[in-house]
Amino acid sequence: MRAERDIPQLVDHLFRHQAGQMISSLTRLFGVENLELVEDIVQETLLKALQQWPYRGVPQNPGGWLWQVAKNQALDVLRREARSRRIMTGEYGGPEPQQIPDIAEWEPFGDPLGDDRLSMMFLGCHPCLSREAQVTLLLKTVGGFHVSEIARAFLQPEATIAQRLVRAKKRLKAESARFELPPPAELVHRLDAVLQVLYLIFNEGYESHLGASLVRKDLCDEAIYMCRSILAHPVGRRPKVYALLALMLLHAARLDARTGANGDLLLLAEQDRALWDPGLIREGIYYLGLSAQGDVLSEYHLQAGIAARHALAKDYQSTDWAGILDDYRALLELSPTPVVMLNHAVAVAMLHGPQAGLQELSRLKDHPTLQNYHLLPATFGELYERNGEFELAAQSYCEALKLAVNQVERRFLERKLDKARSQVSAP
Amino acid sequence: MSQFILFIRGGSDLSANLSPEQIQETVQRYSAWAQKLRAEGKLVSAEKLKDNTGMLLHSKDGRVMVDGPFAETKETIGGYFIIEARDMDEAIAIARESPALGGGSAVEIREIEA
Repeated sequence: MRAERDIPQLVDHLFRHQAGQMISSLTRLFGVENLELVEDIVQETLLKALQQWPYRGVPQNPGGWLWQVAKNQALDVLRREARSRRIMTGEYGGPEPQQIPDIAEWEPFGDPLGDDRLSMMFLGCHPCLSREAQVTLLLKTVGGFHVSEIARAFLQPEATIAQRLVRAKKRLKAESARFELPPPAELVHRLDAVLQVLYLIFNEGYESHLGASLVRKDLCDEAIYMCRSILAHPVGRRPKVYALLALMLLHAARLDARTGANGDLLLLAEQDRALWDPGLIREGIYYLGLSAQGDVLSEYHLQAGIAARHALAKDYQSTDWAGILDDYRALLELSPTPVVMLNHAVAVAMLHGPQAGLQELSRLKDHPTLQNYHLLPATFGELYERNGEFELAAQSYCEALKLAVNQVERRFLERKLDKARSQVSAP
Repeated sequence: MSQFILFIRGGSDLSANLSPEQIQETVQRYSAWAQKLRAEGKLVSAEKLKDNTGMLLHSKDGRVMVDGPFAETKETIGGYFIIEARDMDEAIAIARESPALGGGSAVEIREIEA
């Protein structure tokens, strides 16, 4: 019994996040052009743990152990390099041509302020890379995701992901991208890109567009973890970052309630609110409070505000639709994207009835960017149904089914379609 | 009670292309297994052996021959656990639950002469 208490437990995703930390800190040492070498060192380090810990048990300070091993491996590589350079340049026996950095003195965790991780995030979201490449690179380096895990999350072949990573690294090398925090004049702009990438990762996790399961919690967790990493650094403590974290936490609080026992999609009205995570909601509200400073009102602020109104409603009936509609109006002014317009129409319907909602929605009908967005016809279907126009509802659900890829959503739409059809044929 | 030694042989998972998350999962499975044995007072000791360092000495016609190191991972003993068990059946049951089998390793069980 005594021994049981002595064995340290590994926190969730420790290896993933330690990998991210080690990759970041070692990239500072070896430079962007040696990212591949750095990744090899980190993989070797983790394999060492895999070989030893099963017999010796988990060390008291697992992170410190990993860091120590990574450091030693890095030193080996540097010494080897210095030696071969001396041989090649014929200076063998002469003075050290290259100073070996004094990493032996590094802190056990190397990066108490999170400088390295943040620099890595900026590197991963470098403007020379496509959004797709940024998402992939961030998950691989800072997130410690494996190529196969990224491939699974985005339902793409591993080879595609691997190739994207190789190209991204080449690109960074060609651009001589530097591993550092961007200069103050650029920082805000570059931070925006990082936040957008985190938002994308979270969104893909929250409502997966692909595959069999609706939610990919891993991606949500990762986006939240990276957002927290930004806030760990003084330059990251900005209202917009607080707002994004609030938004993600408030949505994450409802993740477990979004799907029923058989993995089916549950709408807000059907969700068991007892399953919402009160801790995450509290934390989300806390960060929403912190975000309310300065003079920047971002989309994240407004979306977090909407999420908070949902999260704080005791039940579906008491949802503050008037407040939500106000938020959507403000959001429309800030970013009149068609998806925001669609959500705005839903809020209108909730407050002023389905007919008013349908009127709003009809303006979006021919919007080019929504032509392949299944939630547009799905929303039409829902509002027609509420308005008692079951034939139109059935037609809309059929259209939505033509566009929806996620299997959970397809099952949901099929149920709605059946229901609407049975109403049509009812006397 | 008798003591048994479990030799963990090979282990394709050690060199495989594992993700950090998978590595952690494997470590955790071992840790849970060892923790249970320890709590039941059945784990005596465990050590990892150094990789690729084994030597085999044997004599032929009065001369000592040296073989090794053995790089054949399938055959190499990666490490061992010494456990206490009532009999071979219980030792087999314990070894069966070890994560080594799920990870592509083999387990050799030998009873230690009392």
